Amino acid sequence: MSSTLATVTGATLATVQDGGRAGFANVGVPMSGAVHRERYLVATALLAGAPDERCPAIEILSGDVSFLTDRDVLLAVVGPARVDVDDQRAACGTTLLVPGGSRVRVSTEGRGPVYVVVDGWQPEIVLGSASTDTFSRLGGAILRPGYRLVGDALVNGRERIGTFHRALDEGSGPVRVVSTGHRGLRAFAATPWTVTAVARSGVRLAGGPMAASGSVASAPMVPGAIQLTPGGEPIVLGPDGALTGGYPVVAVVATVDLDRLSLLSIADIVTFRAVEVDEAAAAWAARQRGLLRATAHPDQLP
Amino acid sequence: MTGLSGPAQSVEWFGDRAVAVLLRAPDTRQGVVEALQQALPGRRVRAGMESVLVEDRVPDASLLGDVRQALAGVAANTTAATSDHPEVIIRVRYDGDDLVEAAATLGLGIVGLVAAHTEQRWTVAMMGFAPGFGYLIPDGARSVDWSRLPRRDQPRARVPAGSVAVAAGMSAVYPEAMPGGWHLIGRTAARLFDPMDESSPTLFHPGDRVRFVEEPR
Repeated sequence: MSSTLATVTGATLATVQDGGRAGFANVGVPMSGAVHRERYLVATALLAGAPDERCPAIEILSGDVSFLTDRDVLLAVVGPARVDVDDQRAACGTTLLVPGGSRVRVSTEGRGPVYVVVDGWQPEIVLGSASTDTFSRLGGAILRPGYRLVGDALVNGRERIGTFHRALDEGSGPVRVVSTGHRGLRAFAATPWTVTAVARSGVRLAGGPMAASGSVASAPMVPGAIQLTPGGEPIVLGPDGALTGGYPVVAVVATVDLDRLSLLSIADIVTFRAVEVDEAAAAWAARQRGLLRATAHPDQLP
Repeated sequence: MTGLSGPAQSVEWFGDRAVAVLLRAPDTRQGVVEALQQALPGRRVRAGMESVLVEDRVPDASLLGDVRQALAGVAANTTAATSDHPEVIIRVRYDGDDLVEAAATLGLGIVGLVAAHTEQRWTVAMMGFAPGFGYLIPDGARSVDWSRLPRRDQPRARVPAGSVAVAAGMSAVYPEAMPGGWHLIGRTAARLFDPMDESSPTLFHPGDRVRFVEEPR
């Protein structure tokens, strides 16, 4: 039986996301999905027992989200956050049973997004995904007071209460990129860039000596593509970024480092380093193994 | 790039899970898309104006080689079978806010612009910008040089849903209200995007042929 699990009483910058909306890019529907895939997958594993790209989550980019539980719910928060349940501090990175009638407040207090997963929650699915595209307003929702989380309570059962996963380290050093063959990559990678804007659609950079470049024929874009705009300010596309673009692309961020883009704040300095595809793919595979180890049930560890 | 024959001018990595194919001839795009999609069923293929992108969901160091191999089987002058792409008819009321200005820039009157836009056969070259938004390019004979009309100097913060527009040698229909920099010449009641239709959420698909028909004002 579907029922209201919780009702949002306050939200600043939060959306419904999951692993993303695949399969419709050729007709203009972006992938969307969690901007920090690894944090999101750790959160889903706390409920599902393993990373689950179909599990919906509330993604909080900044500020906080408050809600009132309408019934007993199992939930987990992953990311740098302070969690209060009826003014009592509660833990992140673990599965909590919150009684009905509780006031829950999740406040971001660190770098990058925070994910809240609620067991049994079934938001609206549009084209196979609950993810919200903040540009076209497709799918899910941008959370506002009065938004109700509807679903079947406690489908995964209470045996998951207290499940704990450690967070993975975020990595450091220059962000790895793959060359597109553009001649400007050497200059781009030699430049410390300053972040001037951050959004789900992308990150804008400034401060380089890159010459302004003209437009090229419109071409398909992907998250992580670094566009050189005529004003000389590169834009690194995010999950809600444009699917097509008419600016030259100097490089594309390696998949393994895409999550790190979501940790950037305005005025941060960021640098880039070119790697071969073999190295980028191997680094991603190693990271995936680490994620599976970190989210495995203790009984399943070798 | 040496060693390449067929439709590709170059084949380059575009990140660690995509490969961009730059085309020798833009009008091969849909033929290349369909040939690569058939040869690489696990990957997703998208058209650009002068390029084609092949994507994987995860990083895959073998993608470049796979794309090169698949291209070897594609003719240099490949085209999509038009029988696979029905003609989509869009009924338009030509009363857009930029109709007079656009007609003047193209050296036409309003009647002339409407005649040229409805007589022109269009093809969906690529899609993007927003769900259901197709970039329509002139197909076959053209009585007007559409490229004489650039984008507007000042983009609008909000273009109404259903607006029919022209700019930069192309035409388009805005599926939803959104920002836009093209010249608005009319509007249609056609529904271009239905997110609840899982099997075919958009009216246009890459490669479709499109014709505009005037509705009385």
